[in-house]
Amino acid sequence: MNNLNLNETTLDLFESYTKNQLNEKEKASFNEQLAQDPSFNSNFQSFLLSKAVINEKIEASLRDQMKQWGQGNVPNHATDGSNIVEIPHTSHKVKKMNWSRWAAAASFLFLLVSGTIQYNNINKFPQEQLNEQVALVYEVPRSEANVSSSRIDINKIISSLGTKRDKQSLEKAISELSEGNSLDENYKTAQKFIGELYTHLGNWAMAEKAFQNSNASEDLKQRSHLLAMLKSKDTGPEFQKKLDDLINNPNSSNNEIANKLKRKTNSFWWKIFN
Amino acid sequence: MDVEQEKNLVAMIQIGGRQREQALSKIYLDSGIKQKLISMISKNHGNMQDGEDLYQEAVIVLDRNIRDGVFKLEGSLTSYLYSIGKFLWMNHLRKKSLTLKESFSDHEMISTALQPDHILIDDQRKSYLQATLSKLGKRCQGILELWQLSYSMEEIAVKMGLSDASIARKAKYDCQQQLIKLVNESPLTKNELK
Repeated sequence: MNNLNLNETTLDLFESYTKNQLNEKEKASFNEQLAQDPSFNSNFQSFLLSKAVINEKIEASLRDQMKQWGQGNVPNHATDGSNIVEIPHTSHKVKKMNWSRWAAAASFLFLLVSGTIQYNNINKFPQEQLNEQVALVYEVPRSEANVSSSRIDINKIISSLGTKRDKQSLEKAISELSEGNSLDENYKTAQKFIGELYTHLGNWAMAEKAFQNSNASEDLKQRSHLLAMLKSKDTGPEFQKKLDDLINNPNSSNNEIANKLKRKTNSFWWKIFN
Repeated sequence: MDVEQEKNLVAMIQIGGRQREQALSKIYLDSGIKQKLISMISKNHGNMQDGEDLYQEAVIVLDRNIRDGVFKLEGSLTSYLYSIGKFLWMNHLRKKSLTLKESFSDHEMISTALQPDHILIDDQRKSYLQATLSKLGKRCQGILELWQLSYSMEEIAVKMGLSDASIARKAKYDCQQQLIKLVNESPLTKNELK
């Protein structure tokens, strides 16, 4: 055998012949040499066998790859910038879409989003009602304020509180409003505000005590009582009974707010989150 | 798969490299043909696992025949793949003195141009090829595999951790010489292995 003489040019020639890359003249010359030169023929047979050996390796690799593909590890060359021939969309599906799973996921997502929105609404509701119904606004005419001998500057305290409704700010305002005694000309008004501030804090016991020393109307007291209970999330049977009493009393000015609170505190989402 | 898709897949296998890999994965994952083969086997002394194994072997033969230029897309690629599987199973049953309950239709024989020597590699030849391969180093196996699958020298250099294409070309030549030497050291003559 003469195959140790195989040089790169000869190997390239063998390769071109097997890949059908020779023109007719070259092919004829190659075939002639195969027929007439035993050494050349022997080398070519060795070359073919070497290719068959490598085919074994290729097939072993393909078996491994098919195992991988069967486990879902499919090659994706579309993203690596290589020049891949596009295959038109095939009608078969490699993986069936599991609609029930998608529907469950969509429902869960819907509930999650709805729940989050409703949770925020429910949480904000008591404070919104307090801001709307117990607004803490007080303005005395400037002339009256100027002649006032009161130690309690209600205007200034309420203005200073502004829209702040945190516990610290509310307690500071209560403290300042409590400075005057019962003889102070602003005492009753200040007590009314203290009652409202305690309502904002959800403390009906203290609010009620302040309201008793004030000139607050019964309607305001009733309304504040409901809102203090709402603020402290005390919306059980006692709260519901109070609402029912107001709803059944068409003459009450709190009829409308009672209806509103009734609807809200009996809603699905309120019951879920409280 | 329609005719255009099949033509594309065959072209991609012929081009080789990563395109071949992509095309073969598409063919392999076509559950329709696989199920058809499993169904045929389960009616002919086989089970699902036999079907899975046979399907893999059929894809391997298909790949080999396309790369060797044996397969010409005159009929349907999927019918050809099915017929290869059927042929392989028939041969397997014959060794166990069993027969296939259904025969090949004329259409299958003609349209797919089935020829046993393009599908079956006898056990003696296979053992020889595997034994020779095992004597070749892993690095050379990898280089020659990539080269035979038409990867460019630049790609071979990257995949095999070689510094550039010229080094890859030199390595491929050296490996090819080693392999031809191993082939010639075989106790079997080349004529016996033809």
